[in-house]
Amino acid sequence: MKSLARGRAIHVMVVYTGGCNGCDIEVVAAVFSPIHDLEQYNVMLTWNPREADILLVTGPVTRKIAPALKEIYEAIPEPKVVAAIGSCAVNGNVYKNLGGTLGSSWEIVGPVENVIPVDAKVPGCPPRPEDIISAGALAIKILSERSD
Amino acid sequence: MIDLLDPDTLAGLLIASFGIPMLAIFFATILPGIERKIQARIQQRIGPGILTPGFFAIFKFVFKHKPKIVSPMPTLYKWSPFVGIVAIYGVVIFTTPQWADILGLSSLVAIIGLLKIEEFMYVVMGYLSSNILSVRLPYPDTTKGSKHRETTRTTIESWGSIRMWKMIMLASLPLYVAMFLPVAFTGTISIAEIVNQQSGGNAFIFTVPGLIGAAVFFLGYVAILNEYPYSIGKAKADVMEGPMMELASSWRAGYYLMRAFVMFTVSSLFVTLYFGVPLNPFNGVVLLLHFILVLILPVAMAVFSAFSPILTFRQLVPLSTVATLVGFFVFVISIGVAG
Amino acid sequence: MATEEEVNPFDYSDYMGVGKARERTFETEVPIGFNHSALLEPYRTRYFVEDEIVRDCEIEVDPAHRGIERILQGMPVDKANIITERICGICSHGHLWNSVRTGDIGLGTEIPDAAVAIRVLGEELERIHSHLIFIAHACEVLGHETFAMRTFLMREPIQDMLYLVSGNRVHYAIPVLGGVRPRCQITEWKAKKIRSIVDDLEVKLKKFVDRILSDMMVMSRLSGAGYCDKQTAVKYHSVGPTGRASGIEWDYRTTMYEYDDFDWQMVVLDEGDNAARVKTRALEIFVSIDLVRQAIEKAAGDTDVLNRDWELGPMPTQESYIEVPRGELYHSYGLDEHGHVKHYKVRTPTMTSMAAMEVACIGDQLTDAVVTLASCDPCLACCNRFAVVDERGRERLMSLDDLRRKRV
Repeated sequence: MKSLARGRAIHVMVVYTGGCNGCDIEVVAAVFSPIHDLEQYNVMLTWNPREADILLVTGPVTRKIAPALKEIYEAIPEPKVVAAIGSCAVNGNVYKNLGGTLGSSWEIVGPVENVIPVDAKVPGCPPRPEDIISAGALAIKILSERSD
Repeated sequence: MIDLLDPDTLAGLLIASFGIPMLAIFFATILPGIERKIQARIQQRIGPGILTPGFFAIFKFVFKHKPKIVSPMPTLYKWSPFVGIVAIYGVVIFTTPQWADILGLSSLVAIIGLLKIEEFMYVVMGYLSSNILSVRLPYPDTTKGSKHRETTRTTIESWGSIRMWKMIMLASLPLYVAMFLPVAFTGTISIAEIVNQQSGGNAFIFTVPGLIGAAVFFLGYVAILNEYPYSIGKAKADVMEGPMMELASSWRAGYYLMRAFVMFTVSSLFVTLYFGVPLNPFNGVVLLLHFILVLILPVAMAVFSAFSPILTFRQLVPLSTVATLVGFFVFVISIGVAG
Repeated sequence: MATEEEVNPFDYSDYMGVGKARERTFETEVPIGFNHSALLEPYRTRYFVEDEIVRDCEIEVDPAHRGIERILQGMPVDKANIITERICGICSHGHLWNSVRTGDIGLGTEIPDAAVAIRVLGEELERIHSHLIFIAHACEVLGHETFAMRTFLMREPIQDMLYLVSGNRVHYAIPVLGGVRPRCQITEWKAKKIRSIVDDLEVKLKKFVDRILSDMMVMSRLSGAGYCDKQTAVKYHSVGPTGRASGIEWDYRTTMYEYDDFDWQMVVLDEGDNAARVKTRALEIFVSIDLVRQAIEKAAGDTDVLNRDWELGPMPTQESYIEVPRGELYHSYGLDEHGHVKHYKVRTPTMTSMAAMEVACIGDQLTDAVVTLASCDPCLACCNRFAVVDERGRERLMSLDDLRRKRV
């Protein structure tokens, strides 16, 4: 019963950590648009960490948001899965790895892995809604196989 | 006077007190799913499965690990939804015919009192919770140069519960006026009497004051469930989820169950009062008819709420006033017609 | 310059006369934090409310600061151009076009006509999809999920068109120095497909926009809230559709040489409330659809889209203004002798539009105030590049480097 219920009713929460917003628009298109509807897979969108199972993080983590991201992650009850969406969340993208004479940016704490543990990564700038949905499916599979 | 030692009445009482609510709870967990599916189809997409938002969600929350709830009185906060469930349980069993003459509990006044307890629970919950996303968010915004650094902050949840206070007055008043309309029609506040007077196809809803009363009841139904357009107490625009934000795992399952239960119960009251079809466990046909008629109000609510935004108090105050006045007017006319 | 008149601290009908009201303490503060269901991007607002009416408001746009100007210092110019696209995901074409335009004007490059038309095509398509996102977001903040979802459904053909022209749904990278990328040229079958999609879309959009603007409940929420008169809009320099909804008649497209051959109208309304801001953007969508058709006519079948005969050399600081979906965008940079960028400066329209909204939401209920902030179409990913110095001379936003240097 446990894995049946966990696989059939999933709540997803999105956290924007200061990115360029391209991934956020694609996530919103994946969740909210009737064409790539995410609710048909029994995944519902929520904004409350206490209600969430899956945390989607987009954007490179800026200094101001890093403590809040950590607190939000800790507020989610177990079992939980974290998915990093977009190249910024996976490896920092242009902000962390490029720089002219002044070097790269100091405002970025780095990819999401530096702040919270990540289970699924979706590269792309931005990734397509279909890729985001398949990351969601992978996260659902991880979640329903957790036996604790 | 009812004889409690008579084995037939005792058996009937027990079945009505335990069997009917179990059936009601099972049926209630399907109702949020039906509502969500209809809204999704209106939005031209496939929605979640019918059992997902109610049944499976409740079980999923039960199986989650329990985190530490941040609250000044955690025990009261965590068990508030269950107090609400007990109140609604009382409403369900008091409308069955088996409870007809016991201690005067099967009257409209008792029912309304119990519903008020459920509404008050939201207010209590709001003052007791402090979610990470509201005031505790670690963000350095009271720095040198900020405006008004010494102002006290309210959490989003207590803001939501202030609004729930106002909603109890404004938006549920049409519901209570509409519930009293059959009293004007039949002249008694006992539910069993109201049902008896409508037997034989003489239902209240098929009269003109009954139809208007049903419309007012519908508005009150949407209001007591905090659905769009009455969802300012938990508006996604500013208070996110309002008083319920800090609930997690099993206690959130309790909240989901309470909401589904209210969805069933108020609709069941509508069927009992306006259609005259009671929740009688010993008459299978009538019970089946009751459960089918209970589906009318949630379906209508789903369609109505899919097409409306959240209304603020700027619009709600005139709307509720007009609805209450219409209900009152019909009440006066019904007294004139019936008497 | 504020006049020295007596300000009654209990009189909130005059929201421009700050004076004593600023030092008054308020009943309570409700912070709408940066992760919230009504915000598409992280920004922090603090509303000071008394019994559901907002009396004062402070907005901080800081969480999205990523230090892009610092990264661009000393980069080769075409690499710097592409990075500016990542300033924002919704208005990415605007940033890239302005960056390339600065370089073209400074180096004196001649752009072929078809390339000009394709750049305009990209910008107008972006304008349509940005305004549709705004309408969907406004409907969602109002609470009307159905309209929001239907708007997103309408938006998909635009993404398909952009995919057809450039190869990607977001971050299309159409302009380069000297013209556009050769892949983006409009062949005859592409032009035919785009024409048919646009015709179909226009019919559907007309019906849909009529439906939204005539819905009684939505309009009753939007009208009368968030009023910003022309004087306030001019004082806080609100630009783009936000300013045009308050009666300011200015659109940068009248000064840009690329639009000289196109035939279009400016949309100006003067009610100045939330409904006017929504209506301005809805009407601008149809102006843009017409411009898209004209651009396709000019560019169809033309293969000369890139001018490779230009020299990279030192360039004094050159500035350029264009009209993006949210208003006025300013880029400026210079090039040193190797062709590397120096002193890149970007200034985006949301900075000042938000300042105007900070004042406009005073006097409304809390839920309407949140809608007011959303109605200026904030794109904060673009926004955080400068420190804001308000009229008292106090700086409120500073980057980490400034904080360390000034030891605040």
